[in-house]
Amino acid sequence: MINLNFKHLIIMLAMILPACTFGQTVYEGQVINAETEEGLMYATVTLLKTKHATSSNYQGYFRLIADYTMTNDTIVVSHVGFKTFRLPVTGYQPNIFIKLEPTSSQLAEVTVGATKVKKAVIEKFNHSDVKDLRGRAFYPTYPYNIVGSFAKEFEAPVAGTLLSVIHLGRRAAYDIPFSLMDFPRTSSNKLTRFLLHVMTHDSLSGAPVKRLFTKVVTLNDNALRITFDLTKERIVLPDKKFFIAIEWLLTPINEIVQLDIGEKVAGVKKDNSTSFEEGSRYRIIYQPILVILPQWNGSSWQPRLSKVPIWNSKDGLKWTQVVNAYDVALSATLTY
Amino acid sequence: MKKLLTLLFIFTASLVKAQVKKNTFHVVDSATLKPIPAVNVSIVRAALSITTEKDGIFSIPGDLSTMRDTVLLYTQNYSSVKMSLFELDGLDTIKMQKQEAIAEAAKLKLNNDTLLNNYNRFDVGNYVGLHTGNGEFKYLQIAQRFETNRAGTVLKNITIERLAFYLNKFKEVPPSNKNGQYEYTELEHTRFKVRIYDINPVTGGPGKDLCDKVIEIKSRDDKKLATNLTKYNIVIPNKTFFIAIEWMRDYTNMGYVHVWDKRGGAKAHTNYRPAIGLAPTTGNKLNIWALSLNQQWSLYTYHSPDFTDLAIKATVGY
Repeated sequence: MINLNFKHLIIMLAMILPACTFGQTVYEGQVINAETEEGLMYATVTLLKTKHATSSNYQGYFRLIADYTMTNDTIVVSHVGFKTFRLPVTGYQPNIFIKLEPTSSQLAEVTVGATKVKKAVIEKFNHSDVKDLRGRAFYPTYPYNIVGSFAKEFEAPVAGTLLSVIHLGRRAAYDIPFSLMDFPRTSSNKLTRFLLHVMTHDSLSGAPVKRLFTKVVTLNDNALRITFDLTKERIVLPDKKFFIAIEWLLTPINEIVQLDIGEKVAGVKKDNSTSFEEGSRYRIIYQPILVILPQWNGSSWQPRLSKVPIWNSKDGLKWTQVVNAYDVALSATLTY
Repeated sequence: MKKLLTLLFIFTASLVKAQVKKNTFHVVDSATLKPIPAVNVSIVRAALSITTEKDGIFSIPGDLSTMRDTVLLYTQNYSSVKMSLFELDGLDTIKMQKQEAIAEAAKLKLNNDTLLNNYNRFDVGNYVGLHTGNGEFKYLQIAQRFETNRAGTVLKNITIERLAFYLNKFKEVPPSNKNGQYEYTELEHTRFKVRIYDINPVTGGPGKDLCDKVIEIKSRDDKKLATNLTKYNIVIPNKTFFIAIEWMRDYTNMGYVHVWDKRGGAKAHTNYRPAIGLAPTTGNKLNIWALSLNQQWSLYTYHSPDFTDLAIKATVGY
């Protein structure tokens, strides 16, 4: 009888083990409202079989670290007022966006809540624009090596609008492979701190001039679409044209190490000459890495050129307009 | 085997000419006269530092009688040697005196474990040992301060997070294969020493060695380096102790780091691998100490206040 039970146990283990992978696995992404594309806070994310669970933060970002994974497991995402979403772990992609559909009662509530306040989203971009598509054959980031500030021009429908929300596309540090199947070429660092400025527009030069608002932003997750709710700040834009600027900070918290391959000293020979070999070199770059919006040209993904002026500055005072600048995922929501 | 290691690295290698005198030195144990391996040799004002190979040989090119800098030699279990460079003129051997061995502690029966400085390794994203802002990282060791709630514990194991990338490598295959070579990937190699220190009651920093055995870690296949130290029976006499990484400043570990400066230019600095992770949890006290080329311990402030601890975990038993 005992032997029989032992055999059963072995058979059961043999059936279970192939479906089980050991070692920690990370599942991360953003849970968003399918209707509004806004991040959903407090969504519950669970691995159905192993029961690992977490909840999303204010950006809708979640990070689930599982000690082990069943290959036939399912990620279940639920939130009050939304339909539950299920995804087999085999279908998971790094930094995934999970769209939750509102239930009918939720939609009705939105309709009732409509007001006379007008809303305009300038330079709108969607989650699909910032999605981590490792096959995109272009460098998907704004160059961080400008080491200074970057500003994008916006034009409101009328003067005197209120800047209520800013959306920004950020690329997580490890998302910069050379090719689809390549290993990461940067260290992963989810921490970043930078300055967000709202600036006035100089009608003569067209350049950014005066800072209307400055916020120190610290991000501690890998969310790709960042939402800044500025409603409480009451930022009134005096003119139709204005700028939103990002200022990089050269502080250790923003450091990412990028791998480079090059010649290095291998040793010194007896005759005092130096021998060289190919080896790794490190390059320190600074976050945040901004997302350049993509466009499909029929055969490959290419960076999209900006239709609005983009300016750069080394010191935040003297600004230079960038010729043929790429379009950065940065939008402004105005109310008036 | 490479028989010599010169103090002139890439930046000065081009200056070395055939006619320049090469002064070669053998570092030996003063009692046995046997070579001492892995001795750190630093020229203080020039801020140059290397680690010798197993044969304890190093060389300094040039006319030593005219040099006014100071050379500092140190290695585990030996008293440091400090000399003016001109004093080396005419010498070919430097003797180092072995320190008294640490008395072996009685084996304790350990019933409980405490994990110190715990963190999630997936949250480690910043590293120490690459540069110091606009300057080169000129430190010999980096140490993490640990606090236990009782004295007399035994250090059982440690886990260190390092920075390492996968590199594409090529390997030749026998001629029967038409392709001639195949490509594979492997993690960057490194080797370093681990030192365990008691607290220095005067400075609050690392003090006496608590282990006189050489703990050398070589790694090829993981960024997380877990090491079982049970066999060393390292007894921690006080509540505070330090775990330090001692870099082997040799050609294998040497690399370059390009850093942007505030004017938008890039500078290349030398560094020694591995860079050590910073713990993602921030405490209210800085616990990272660094040993300078002139062998002074001080708090390492470059990453504070955002980071206060290294990504080194330790388990102590009692």
